[in-house]
Amino acid sequence: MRRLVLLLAVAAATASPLRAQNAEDRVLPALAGGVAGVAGGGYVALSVVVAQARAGNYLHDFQELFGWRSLPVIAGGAVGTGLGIYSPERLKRAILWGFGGMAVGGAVGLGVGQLAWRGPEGKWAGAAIGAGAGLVVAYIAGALTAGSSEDIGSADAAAVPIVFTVRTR
Amino acid sequence: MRPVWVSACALLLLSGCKPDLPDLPDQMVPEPPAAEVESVVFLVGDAGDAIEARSPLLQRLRADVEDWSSRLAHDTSVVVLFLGDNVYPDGLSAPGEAAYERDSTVLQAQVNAVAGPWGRQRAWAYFLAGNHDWGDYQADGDGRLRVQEEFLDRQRARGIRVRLQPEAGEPGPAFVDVGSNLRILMYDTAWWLLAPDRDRRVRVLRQTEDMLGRAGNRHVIVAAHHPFKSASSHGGNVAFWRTLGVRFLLARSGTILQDLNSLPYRELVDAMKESFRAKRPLLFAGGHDHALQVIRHDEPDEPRFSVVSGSASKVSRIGHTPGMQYRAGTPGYMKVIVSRAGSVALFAVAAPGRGYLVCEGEDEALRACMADYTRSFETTFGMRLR
Repeated sequence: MRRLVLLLAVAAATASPLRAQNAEDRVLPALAGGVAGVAGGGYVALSVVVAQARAGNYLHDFQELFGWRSLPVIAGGAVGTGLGIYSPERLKRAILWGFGGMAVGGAVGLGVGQLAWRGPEGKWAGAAIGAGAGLVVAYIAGALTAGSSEDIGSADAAAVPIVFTVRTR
Repeated sequence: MRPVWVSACALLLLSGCKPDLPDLPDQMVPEPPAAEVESVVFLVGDAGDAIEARSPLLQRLRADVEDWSSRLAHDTSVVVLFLGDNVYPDGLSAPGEAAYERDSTVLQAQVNAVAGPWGRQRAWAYFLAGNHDWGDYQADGDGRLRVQEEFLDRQRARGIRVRLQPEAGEPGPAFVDVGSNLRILMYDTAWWLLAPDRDRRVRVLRQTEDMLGRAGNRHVIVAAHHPFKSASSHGGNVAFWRTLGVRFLLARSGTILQDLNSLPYRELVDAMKESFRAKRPLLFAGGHDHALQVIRHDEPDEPRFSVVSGSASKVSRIGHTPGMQYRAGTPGYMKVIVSRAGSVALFAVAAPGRGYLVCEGEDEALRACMADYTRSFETTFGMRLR
């Protein structure tokens, strides 16, 4: 947990003042991370709303989705951007694992939902909730377990200076 | 561009296309002559965005009500049911609030449907509550309903026969017998979707059974804001790509209270079905979805027919459902004509397209548009229900 908090804090804190030597290499990962984070956050928001409805707190209207319920979208975008800057390697694995977790969670949730709730909506709700949970868990796990060679500040990521040797006779 | 990208783009575009809907047979029985008619019931839903000066539909409705009121000899032979969502977006604001002027203008436009010289003498308008009349479930929603009720009471004191039914904050059923052949039961189904009081719900059902059982040979119309069945967006007809799958998933998982597949709505329909075993209603009339639909039902615990008439000021996409007899994604309303002999016919009056909802412009251009669009409303469907 401590490692996760540290990782997120570093990722967020380093979002703009780049200390990396190869800053231009981090632009694309940051953009990709941001887009993926917004999409993933959107999906997490959706899962939360579906879970709330299953507990009896329904949305009255589709428009209610926009507001504080959209917070995961902003959070997802910020984390994704930060992670893209901090470590493209971690971002890549987080996104890949996130997709996998979403698929596995969705499949498991579909089965559980079908058993837990009556009506055809049960399986859809279960799938939506399971996919959201799977996405979050797998994204975090992916970010934490990826190699750290591209992390800002890691020894491997440091630029190797070109050494000129001038021999004098 | 690589073929794979071309294919992906084509797939994306195609998936956003509307699927073909099965054709429905044209049905058009003639309206019976006035001498044979005992009563006429207009079904108008979701008129809460219509401004009288710019709504061809309200103009056409008022002319239709006036026409039938002048042709039918007896008192209370014409009934207009406003099927809820009478004021968008949050019901009628209290006098003194900023939105009151606009809100009251909208409601007054509907009241005026029965305010013509003949309408005042022979027509009644009953206003049913919809979810938006409850302030779209903001705090003090029944306060909003009371404001609407008081507004209608003031109009009634001026000699225009209008009333909120059931009374503000009450679930119903309220009933009115029209002539000797028709009974109308009215509900506030928005109450039901919020109701925490299970005992009260049971009482509502027992009262429904009682009123149905005591209807005798009268045909029964059950009227509420929320429809019995719908092939439009609240019934789950949502395109996947329209909101990148979000609305689609919410609809499929029953997450939106106002959709027919949310658990409270499902309980409402199941409860209604249980009480319909006492006597099968001829027609269940609802609004809520912004389209015109007529659906035939075959199960013994369902009404024989249900209609969605909710396109008085908004229009939404429409799909297909088994039993569908008629559909139109255009502005319009419906009317039920009951003959003295007891036969019942249902008609839809609709505009030829979505664009006929509102007239823009000012002065002469507005007048010309209103005259032209009002004339464009035609009876597009007619069938014998009994």
